[in-house]
Amino acid sequence: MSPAVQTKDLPGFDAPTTWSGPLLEVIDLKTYFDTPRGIVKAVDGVSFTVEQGKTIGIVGESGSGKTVLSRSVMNLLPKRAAIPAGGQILFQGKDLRKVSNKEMREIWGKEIAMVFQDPMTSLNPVVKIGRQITESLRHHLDLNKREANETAVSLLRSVGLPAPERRLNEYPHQLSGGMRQRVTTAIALACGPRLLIADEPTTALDVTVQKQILDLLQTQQRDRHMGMMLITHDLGVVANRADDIVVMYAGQVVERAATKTLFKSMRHPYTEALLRSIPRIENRSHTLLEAIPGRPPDLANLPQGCRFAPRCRYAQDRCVTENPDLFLAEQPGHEYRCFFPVGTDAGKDALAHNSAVGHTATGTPVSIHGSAAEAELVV
Amino acid sequence: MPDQTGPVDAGNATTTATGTTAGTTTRTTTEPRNGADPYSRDTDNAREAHFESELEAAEIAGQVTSVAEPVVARRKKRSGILFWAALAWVGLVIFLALFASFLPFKDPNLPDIPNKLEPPFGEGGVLGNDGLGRDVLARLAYGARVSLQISFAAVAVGIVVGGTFGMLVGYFRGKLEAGVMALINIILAFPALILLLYIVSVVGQSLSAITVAISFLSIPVYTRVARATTLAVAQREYVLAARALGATDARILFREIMPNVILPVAAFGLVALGTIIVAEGSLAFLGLSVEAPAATWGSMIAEGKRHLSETVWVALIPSIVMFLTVLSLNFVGDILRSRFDVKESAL
Amino acid sequence: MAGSGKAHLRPGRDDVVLSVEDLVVEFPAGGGKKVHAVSNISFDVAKGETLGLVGESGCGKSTTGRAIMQLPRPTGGSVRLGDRELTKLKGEELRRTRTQLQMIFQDPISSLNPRRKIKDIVGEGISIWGKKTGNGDARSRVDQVLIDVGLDPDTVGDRRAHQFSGGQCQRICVARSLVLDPEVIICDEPVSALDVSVQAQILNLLEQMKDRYQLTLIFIAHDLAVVKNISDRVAVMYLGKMCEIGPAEGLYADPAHPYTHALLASIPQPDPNIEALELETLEGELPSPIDPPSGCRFRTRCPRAEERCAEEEPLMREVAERHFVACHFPLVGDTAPPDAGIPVKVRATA
Repeated sequence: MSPAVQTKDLPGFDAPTTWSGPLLEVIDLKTYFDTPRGIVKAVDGVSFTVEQGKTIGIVGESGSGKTVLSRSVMNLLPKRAAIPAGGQILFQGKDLRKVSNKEMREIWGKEIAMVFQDPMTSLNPVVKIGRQITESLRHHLDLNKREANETAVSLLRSVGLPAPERRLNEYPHQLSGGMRQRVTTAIALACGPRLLIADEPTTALDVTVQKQILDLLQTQQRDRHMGMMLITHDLGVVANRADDIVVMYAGQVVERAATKTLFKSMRHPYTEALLRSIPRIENRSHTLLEAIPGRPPDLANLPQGCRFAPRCRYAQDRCVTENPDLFLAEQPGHEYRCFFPVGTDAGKDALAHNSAVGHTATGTPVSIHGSAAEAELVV
Repeated sequence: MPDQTGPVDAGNATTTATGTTAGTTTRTTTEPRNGADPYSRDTDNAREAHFESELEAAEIAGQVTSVAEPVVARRKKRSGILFWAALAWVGLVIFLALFASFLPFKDPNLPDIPNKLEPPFGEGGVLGNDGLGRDVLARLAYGARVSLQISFAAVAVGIVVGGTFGMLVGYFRGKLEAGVMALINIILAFPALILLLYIVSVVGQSLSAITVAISFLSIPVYTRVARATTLAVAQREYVLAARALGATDARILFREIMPNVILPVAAFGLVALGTIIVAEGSLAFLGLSVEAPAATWGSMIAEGKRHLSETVWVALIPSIVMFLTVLSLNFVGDILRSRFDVKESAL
Repeated sequence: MAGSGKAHLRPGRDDVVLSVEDLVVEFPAGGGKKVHAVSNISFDVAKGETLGLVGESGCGKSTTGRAIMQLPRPTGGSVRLGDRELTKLKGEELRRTRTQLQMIFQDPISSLNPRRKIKDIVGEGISIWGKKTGNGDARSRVDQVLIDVGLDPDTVGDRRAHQFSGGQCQRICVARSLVLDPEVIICDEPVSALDVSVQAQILNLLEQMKDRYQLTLIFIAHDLAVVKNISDRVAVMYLGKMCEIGPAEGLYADPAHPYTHALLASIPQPDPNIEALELETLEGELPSPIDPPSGCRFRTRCPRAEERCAEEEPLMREVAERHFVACHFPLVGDTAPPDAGIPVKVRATA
């Protein structure tokens, strides 16, 4: 990006922070939903920390609970449906779970801001872009109209939107998808939040635009020394942008580590399978992909044991009956939820055993090479 | 931004069960999936991006199908009593209309001047006697026949003729569509009551003439509803897939389009039943429905109006009956429609 | 980019099943203007080959796919399937010929009629044309394709689409497209609506089906890694024109067109040792297809653009074996910059 404007000039850039601890601490967070089919455990005991000025990548497929997680942190979940079943969300030491909506309003935008997946639905289609930005500026920062407009222009310029003065008077539908996401980013950054939550910010965008937006988020995060939660289903998006990565599966953290550690010595079979199932550009054409068989479990009807066991090529009898806790790996801060971790002797033995028998403990067939067969017969 | 989007999101999510998919699932219910794209001025680029996210939403929605359906079940329970009461009332009215001549009613047109304006539960009929001493209950039952015959006929004609037209023009588009829609807009722009008055004055006041007139006037609305639904359905990829398999237009219309258009149109028809009952009432009130002495609800109210200074019963009872009937129809129609909608969204 | 020109066609080969020449698709845009969705695209596909069509949204790749099917008919150009010219066929003949081409779409859920049973959806082709020879009756044919795509016909047949996940719906779509034994299947973003773990299942399934049914595939997608994985040849499109076409390996290893290069550099790589911010980014926005730039359509965003690019439209020419590019200043050959950064190679050494 070529921000002509120095980010330092923007509001909130050097907001004094007296808080020196971790910016966000999520401890054993549980968010359930009461449905007629039973309790849906969308987020089930998730813990992680976002330090100031760091980016944490939250990776998971649809149904992994990553979106509910982000909305729980934002306190944006419907009170009627969601049960805050437990845990704490400490933002600069304050438990957001206990904060009223009125207090939350002072935190939204000013302290924590969010960039959503679909800019078309997060922008109001009938309100001009200028007003959508200045609204929160005027609310939180008490700027008058002229000041707010000036700030809005410099914000739009800093997110790389061409001709920002003109854009103020345009409506969202007059912009392309990438420009809209720049606008939502500008809105999110308007009041200089300490924490930015980006929930699949580029899923709806093309690959070149995706790179532009991710670069933008990364530069802004660095310049402003914000904490960022980058939520995505694509390991490629976070691999070289996040400091730490949390991999989620069926509402739980299955692995958490510093990014380099995770890619170098991953322990959880799901992380491994996820990475192996992505087509890689370095591979030759027609390389058989190692698909993960089956599909994620029903969150209202979870298996008794490990939640990944039915799709896991390492699965043993123990995995069927017992859901592992998070174990510590050698590297500090590296945790995984598996009895037979990848790259360990236990894991190798489990794989060898399954290959020899021809199937895993849950009955998923395994080929001689140890990859789980993928044909999925619906029963 | 969170200030604006936050509460909206929360609101969106309340109706669905799982949070992950809450916003998206609801969105598909409230937004036309294809067709009526509100951002049609977008570049191709932007529109494709918009679609992509929509598709994603559909994908996610697909994952929670099994969750979405029980939500319906729960809603059913909550509105259960009212729904059944409304259904029972509609059933009662239909029953009375069908079997009026077999039930032990007095002759609805037999005057009994000495007992005129008898209040309900008095010397006269159960619901009292009108200004000529005729039994109000009997007249209501026979009047229901008129109301129901006209409204069912109008809805049936509307669905069959209007629905077919709408489907055809929505599928084939082109000049035919432009012509038909222009015609329909003209008919719709014309004040319906005046048109009715005119038709009735020309063809006369027989039950069948009035039925034909009202039926004719109800065609345009159905054409519009069917056309709008068809436009959306015709863009679905399964229609394209059927073409790729070599299906003829007729086959696509019958197999792919019609099953998806008929439910929304029929649900609309259910709600429209009530409107037509009221329309017939207005006509009767103006003395232009079926000729006296035959009873219709509208003419009963009109007659009762003359006796308002002496007693309110005569006008009030048919009014209440009409009110309850229309309300029940709307209520049943709404619930059925919302059930279709939710099912749609879960797809 | 613009590439027009047909140097890359292979008229001499006798195993070409589908050949597209000078395909033009325009839509009215109101005010007498036209959207130039596809402008003079030519390519051919040989029997058993998979051609990847890659490009960003708005590049006309999906429109190309549909124009091949004559849904709707292209504005100009020719589409030949075997020895039949599809653009000239009408009525029943077109419908019958079209069954040799099938499509799989992006949104598996919108591709299946919610009101019909799976067995009817999959059996639709047979019920239109009657049973095919040699495969027993219609019922067993439907069962067979369902088994082939990894679904159990007895449990699946009587259900409706909403009871399945996205991946399963896509399997059903594959089954439907196979039932009439087509020559060519056009896959229009078949995996982009799916979760990564499911995406691999469908890609592998397509490869298996290609072998089993001796298919020729046209695989349209925006994800370059996915396209490379499944394709023998890859064609890159930008704003209605073809920029580059070549064997998948060669094209990815030595992209000749600056746009291909930029696309490859934009892909997020699951490798923490690459500093994302240091990779180059394609700046700017896609120009409007209503009023595309003169000459090479990519010139407005091209780091290598010169005056000539605005005046003269580049034609396809061969820069490496079977590797063609429509660019005046390609990144390989004599015009290659001394420091040509080849993204994939850079990564391999990083």
